[in-house]
Amino acid sequence: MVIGGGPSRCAAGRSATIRLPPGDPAWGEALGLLQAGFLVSARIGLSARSFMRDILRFEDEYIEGAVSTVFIDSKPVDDIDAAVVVDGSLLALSAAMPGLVGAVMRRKSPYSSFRKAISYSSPLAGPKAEGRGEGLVRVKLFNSVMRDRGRDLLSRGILVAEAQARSLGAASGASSAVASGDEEGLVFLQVLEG
Amino acid sequence: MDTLLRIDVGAAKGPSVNKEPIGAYAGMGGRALTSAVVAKEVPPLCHALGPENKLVIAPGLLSGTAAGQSGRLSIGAKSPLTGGIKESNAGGQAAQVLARLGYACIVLEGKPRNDDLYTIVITKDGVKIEVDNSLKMLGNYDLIDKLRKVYGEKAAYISIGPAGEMKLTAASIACTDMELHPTRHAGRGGLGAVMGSKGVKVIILDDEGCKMREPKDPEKFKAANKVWIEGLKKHPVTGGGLPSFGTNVLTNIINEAGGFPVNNFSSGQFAGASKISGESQAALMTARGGQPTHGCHRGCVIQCSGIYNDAQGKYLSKQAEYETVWAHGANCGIDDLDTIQMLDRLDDDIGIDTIEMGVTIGIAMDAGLIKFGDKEGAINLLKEVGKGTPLGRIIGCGAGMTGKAFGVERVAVVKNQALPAYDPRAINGIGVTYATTPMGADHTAGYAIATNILKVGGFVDPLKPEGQIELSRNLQIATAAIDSTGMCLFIAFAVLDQPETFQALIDLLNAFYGLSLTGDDVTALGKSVLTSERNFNKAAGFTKEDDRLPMFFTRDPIAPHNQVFAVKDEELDKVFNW
Repeated sequence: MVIGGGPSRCAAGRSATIRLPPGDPAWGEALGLLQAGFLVSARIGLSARSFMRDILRFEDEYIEGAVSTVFIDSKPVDDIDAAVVVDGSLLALSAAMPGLVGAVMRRKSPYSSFRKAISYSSPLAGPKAEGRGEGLVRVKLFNSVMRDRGRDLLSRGILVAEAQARSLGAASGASSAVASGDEEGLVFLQVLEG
Repeated sequence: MDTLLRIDVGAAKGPSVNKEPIGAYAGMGGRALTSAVVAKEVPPLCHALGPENKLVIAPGLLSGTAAGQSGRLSIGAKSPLTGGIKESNAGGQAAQVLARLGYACIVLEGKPRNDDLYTIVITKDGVKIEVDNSLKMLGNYDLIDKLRKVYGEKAAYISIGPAGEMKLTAASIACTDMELHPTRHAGRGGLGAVMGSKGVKVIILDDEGCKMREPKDPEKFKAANKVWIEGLKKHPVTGGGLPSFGTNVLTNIINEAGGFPVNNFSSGQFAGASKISGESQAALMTARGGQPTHGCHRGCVIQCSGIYNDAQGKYLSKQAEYETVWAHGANCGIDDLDTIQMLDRLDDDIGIDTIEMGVTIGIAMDAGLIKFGDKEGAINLLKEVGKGTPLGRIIGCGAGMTGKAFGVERVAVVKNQALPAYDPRAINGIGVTYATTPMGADHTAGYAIATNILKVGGFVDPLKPEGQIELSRNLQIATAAIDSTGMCLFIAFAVLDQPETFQALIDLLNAFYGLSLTGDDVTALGKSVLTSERNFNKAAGFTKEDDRLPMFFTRDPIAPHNQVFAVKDEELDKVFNW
């Protein structure tokens, strides 16, 4: 099931749609939701690569060429085919980053020894763990990945805390788009251009 | 660029000027030249603020040419902060202008005979030194605003603020950018205090009537420069991430990795990271009519800087860099960009190192002077530095001094210089460089370049445990060499991944000077620079025990990974075995 489909909508219970003109400054806050992290209700047990391809709908070429830095639960990942996304995982995705430490964090970095103490090591034996039902995964998109893919994901809908959705609603001048309720509760939020 | 300009500020009849051939220093630029002069001419045991110390200001080997990214200025001396040799470099316009004026370096030496404050004006017609005590204790912004009316918009200015005049050991030296804002600083190691000890407030460089430096082989140079610039533009970091988001694009990544020190190095992840990230900063700058993509000097291809406006759309400061955002932000528990940018402006105006100030204010917060997250309190502490109050002078002398004054054990310094924005408990390898570089804790000391392209010290297997030591060694060698070219260190990202871009750099040097350098020569240069710097420090009293991180890094685990710095002392002692 891809992002924006039934599971995420169902996990929220409530939904909201906000429309923003292309140049609206509120896009900054909308994209900010992606770097702060959002939830996806999706099939779990997928490899990081499969999750990006099947759930987030990134093309293989984009994954290979642009998503150079991947974290699962704050651990830098070298092998995205062996890394497994499970219920409760935090998956963070970034382009290649500057600086020695930026290079250190890249997938299969020649400098990976600098962070060997925190590198991801798969608890499972790779993508064969696929198909273990639905779960909630937290996703963060940074820098050019956020810029390149953010609007598409927002248009399909993401799960965020109600307070975040309301804040965006207020910034966009559409505060009534998000009904007041449980601040801690989840809202299935779609942000559309137009 | 074959002239060395010596200015003896202590001469009997007032400052004297002596131009001499570059002589034994021929073929050197940037850090290689500053460190060579300091190592040869400065007694290692002298007081950093005494007449025996010398402040050496050198453009790089390719500064003043058409080579892209060649505008880095190196400044060296014995550091009043570390007590060892120091090279600190800055962007801005000064390196290009100084090189076109024909100077390989300026050496300020001696000690003034009174409290007069000098301006030094350098043009193609010569050098003029004048007393101008009306400039005393001016902040860098007011100083440049005053001087630009006299010396014009095209000059480049190298100046100190009140911190340098007060000889505070975290004082920086400012270089003006393209808009004549004093925003590019040789920040580390307190070199502003050395300039202050020479009684020099500002050096004004005007290259009107000077031509761009001509290469020995113009055709080869032009061809190499084309490959060079193409390489920088096509790389996703130098052509994408840096121009779009600035160096602060690192905040989200390092925070995600758990290596982003928070509240004086007490945690590795900051809840407010996304509020102060490069992504948020760029969006805010755009919304306020600023510029998130901007160069700090003419000829910059990468354009990692920017213009940050306040809420009213008025210029406040340049786009604060990653290190500044971390130091004044997460390390002080502050998640507000406007506050961080105000602190950045104050740092630039007072003329003081942003990293040292952020770490120091974090220590002051840890000591209970103010609370973590106290935005106004942080601004007020920095203002105390500018005013020179007793508290301000303690803060302005950096993390080590402030930790002692207020009884704080968790003081993140090496050789008394504050650590930058990467916690060595999460990223052990960077801790090796922090511990062992002759410069004191410095993230740029081992920053650059693909060791396996250079084959420095043989091919390194990054999966071997000893890889951290070997990598740190090789990175330090490579960085020392790059620092000598006058190239912005951010070229490292393109050079790191693209062998043809690294080759283009070598080709640029060869075409310009008519040489036939190889990667081995670059390696030899880097080793030579490091060796002379290490020898200076040894003669100044440094031992292997100075090549250590503070003990809390090996004792106190940091969240979220609950790791400590685990590289053993005996391993650290092997870094400079070559």
